[in-house]
Amino acid sequence: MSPDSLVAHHGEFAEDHSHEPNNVFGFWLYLMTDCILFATLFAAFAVSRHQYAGDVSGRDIFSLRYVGVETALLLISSSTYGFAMINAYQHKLPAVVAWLCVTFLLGAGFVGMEVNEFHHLVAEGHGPDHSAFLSAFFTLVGTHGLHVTCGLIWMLTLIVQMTVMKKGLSTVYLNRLMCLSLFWHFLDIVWICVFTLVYLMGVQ
Amino acid sequence: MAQHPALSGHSHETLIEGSGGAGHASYRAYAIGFVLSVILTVAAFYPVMVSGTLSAGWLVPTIVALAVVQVVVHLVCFLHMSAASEQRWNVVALGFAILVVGILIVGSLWIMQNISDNMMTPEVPALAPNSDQPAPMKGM
Amino acid sequence: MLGRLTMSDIPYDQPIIMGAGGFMALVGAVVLGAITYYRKWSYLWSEWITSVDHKRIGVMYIIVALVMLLRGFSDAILMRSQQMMAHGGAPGFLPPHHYDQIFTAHGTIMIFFMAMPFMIGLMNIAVPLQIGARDVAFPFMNSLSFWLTAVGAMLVNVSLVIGEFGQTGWLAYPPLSELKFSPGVGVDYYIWSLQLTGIGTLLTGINFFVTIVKMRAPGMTWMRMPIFTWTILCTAILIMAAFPILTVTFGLLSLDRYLGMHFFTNELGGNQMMYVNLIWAWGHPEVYILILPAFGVFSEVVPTFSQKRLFGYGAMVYATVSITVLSFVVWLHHFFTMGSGANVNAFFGITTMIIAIPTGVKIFNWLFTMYRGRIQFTAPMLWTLGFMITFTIGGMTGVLLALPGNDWVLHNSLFLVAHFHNVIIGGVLFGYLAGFAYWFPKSFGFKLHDGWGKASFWFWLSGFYVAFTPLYVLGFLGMTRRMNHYDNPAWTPYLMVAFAGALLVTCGISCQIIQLYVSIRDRHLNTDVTGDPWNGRTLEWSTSSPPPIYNFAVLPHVDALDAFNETKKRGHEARETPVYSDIHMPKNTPAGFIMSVFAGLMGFALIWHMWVFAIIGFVGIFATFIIRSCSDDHDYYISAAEVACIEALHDSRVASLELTHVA
Repeated sequence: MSPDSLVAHHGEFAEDHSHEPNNVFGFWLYLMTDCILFATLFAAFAVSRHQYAGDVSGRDIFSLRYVGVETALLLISSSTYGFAMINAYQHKLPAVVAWLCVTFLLGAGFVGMEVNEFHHLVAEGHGPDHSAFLSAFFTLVGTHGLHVTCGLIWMLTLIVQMTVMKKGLSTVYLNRLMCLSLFWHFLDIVWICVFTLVYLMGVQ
Repeated sequence: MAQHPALSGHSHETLIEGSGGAGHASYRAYAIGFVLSVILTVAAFYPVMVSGTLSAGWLVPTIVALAVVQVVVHLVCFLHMSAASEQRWNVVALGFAILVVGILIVGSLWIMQNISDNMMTPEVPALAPNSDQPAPMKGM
Repeated sequence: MLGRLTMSDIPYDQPIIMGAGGFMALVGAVVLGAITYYRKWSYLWSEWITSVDHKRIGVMYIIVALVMLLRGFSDAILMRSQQMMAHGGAPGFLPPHHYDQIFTAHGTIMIFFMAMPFMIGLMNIAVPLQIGARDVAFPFMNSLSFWLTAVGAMLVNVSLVIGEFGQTGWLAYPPLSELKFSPGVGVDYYIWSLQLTGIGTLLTGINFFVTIVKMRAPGMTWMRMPIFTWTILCTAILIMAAFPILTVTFGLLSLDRYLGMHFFTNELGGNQMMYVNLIWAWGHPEVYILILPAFGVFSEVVPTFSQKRLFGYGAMVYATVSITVLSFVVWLHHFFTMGSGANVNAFFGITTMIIAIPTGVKIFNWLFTMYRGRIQFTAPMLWTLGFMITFTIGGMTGVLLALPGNDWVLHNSLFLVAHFHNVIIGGVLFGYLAGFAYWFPKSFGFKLHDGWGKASFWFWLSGFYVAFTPLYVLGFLGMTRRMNHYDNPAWTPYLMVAFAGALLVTCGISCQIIQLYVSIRDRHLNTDVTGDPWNGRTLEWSTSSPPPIYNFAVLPHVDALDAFNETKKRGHEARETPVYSDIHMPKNTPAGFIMSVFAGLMGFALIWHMWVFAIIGFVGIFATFIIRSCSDDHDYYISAAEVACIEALHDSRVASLELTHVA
């Protein structure tokens, strides 16, 4: 690394403006910490994955067709969020809001399916307090679901702020949309790891 | 945990294009990403759902490899990671995060595996098949 | 509505606790009364509580740290006196139930509420100034981080009077910390106070990483960055990588306790060793989160008071970075005895010994910096010298413990206790106290009284050795840690000596309190007129003391290492009249404070199972955040004319003070 190529970029209060807003970079760093948070949960899941304690195993409770639908919802929502971002760069507010609403519905569908899956398991008597495996499963998948829920609340807030409160697509809101975009795509990546390591490997 | 700095701090007129992780968005990137993801997801689900496609020994390595490829596809097509200079810090941060994740998961599993071998931690198996097992949520 | 909180949770029958609580209430009442009497509430609110200025936030962090130092140290005195008295037939004056809370609180407070806030306070004060920035990257988030930490500290203090604290040791190992064996609220206080401060710390890590990467003054390349900033950069990386692990670990423990899950229980497949593994995967990087900034302080103090540049700047940088990476692959040495076998223990034993190498490099760099320098033996320099000897001894006992075979003998003995106090007092605390004395004039515009500082140093240093050398011996004699009572009369004399050491440290702390009093009383005699009281080398000394809100009227341009020293060599006088422009600054906001109050309410409610209040707190946090995000009014401009006015005022003040000093 040559020192000259590393001349400092300048931030918020500097005279010269950098090309990268600090808040997007800061949010990216937050996502990296979130990545480590999920890694810890994956480690806890991996250690408990065979500790069934006489209760059900993954083979007994996972329906891959159901998980496949959940995966499809998230995957499509990633693309629709992408379309929202493309329209945001072109400053087409109605299209942005429309795509965000589609994304919101897909995400809400995902959360709804997950709540339904959890409710079904608890009702069948296989709640998270029945074995270490079930604790780890509920916690890992539930944490991902909580993140998606936070993303939905954030999305709703942005839609309201941009439309009802007439903030429009100012630089601030473009930055916020971009941060949420990073968050949303990141959650999709976490879900890839979840369906592979929890569901696909769990039914072996 | 949703403390997003996006909403903190100050508004300031900064250029948006080519910034952050999500610059250079195009329909093409999203379309390629979407198609590849669908292919990779189906490729991972199919051999697990249809028994006999792959031998048991190959199944786990295959689906793990497919997951890794899909994560890379998402990073490139949806998060627009690249080797461009404005991406340098994002990529460095991601690289370090992956290193820590690797150390944490591999280290924990290695340690815990050795402990359970040495301590002879018992593993209580799951319910016997076909006892009062719940119906998987097929068709929901 | 009030969950499981009843009047009987207040320990009326415990005179020590009620005395301490009464004392706290008295001090609190005096402080609040004084604020009301002098009509300072609005000043306090607008200038401090809602402040997003990194300099103010830094000062508040250090105030929290010093208050909690007193609290943690009084716990230490209680433990030393209990162990001196409770042998043979004598039970001592602390029942086990209370004694166990004391050692748990001591460790928790000293690490999370003394060392961490102290370190974050120093980085807040120094880093933006060192890199020539006007504030941190996310000033509001900085305020939120501080208040989350403050609220966490409040929860710990509240536990003294309402309910109880954990009786589990400072890392709350399960299964003891599980609901079955700790049914009270103690562990819940522990969990929630640390979760709040942990999230605050994580945000600080992100904040300072972005600040250092993106906001350095023009021309400040990586290899022109002061070493303290380098160590804070590495600490920020470690915080971002390690604190999520802590959040999850405590999260899983709370799921066990609140929802009956089985991560770490004895039943249904739970595995308490996973907790030990995870908590140390955070805990070892945490050790370096604490010590790296102290190394950074020494690397500023030694060149300044030796009047020459740091020896081996590049080696220092590479040593810091390699410690950062290595600190992630040594965590198992905290539980060699757990049974992962010879191969695993050997790997982690070797990595632990490797990490001593870059640390040794640093010691030699400081020694060679001092070699043939014109050393000024001020208080910060004395702390540094005390550190170099004490930390080297602590490091060597650490290498002894890094051998799994040795560790098998010494694990959980007082030898271990002596070792980590050796590195944490002799390394971390001495470093922060050196930094405190070093940057005090920058924050307040006057120097601390050096004589009282030196007296404090000598009491601390001698007190440390008198208190902890006997513990090494006791460790070899087989005394384990955390004992409420023992029946081996041979140990008593050593514990008496250790108590005497604790009294010497008490004298050291008293000297520090007197030093603060004397320094504030005589502040007009110790005024730092120029902003550069030590003939410093880095940018923070180029602005006035205390700096104006915008730090630098004109952002400095850096073209060498030790930028300010270079400027001084060339002579300020040649400088032409500065051209001021409008300065863009963040506005103060109460949002961080309000969110933290809601977080504190949520934590307290969860501890006592008051579900309604917990929901109110939770919703309050998010609502405050969203309401704030709806407003765009977060910043303002200081006009060039106003800047010129402030600078002219400062210049005339300097001129007049220089005149009085000449007279």
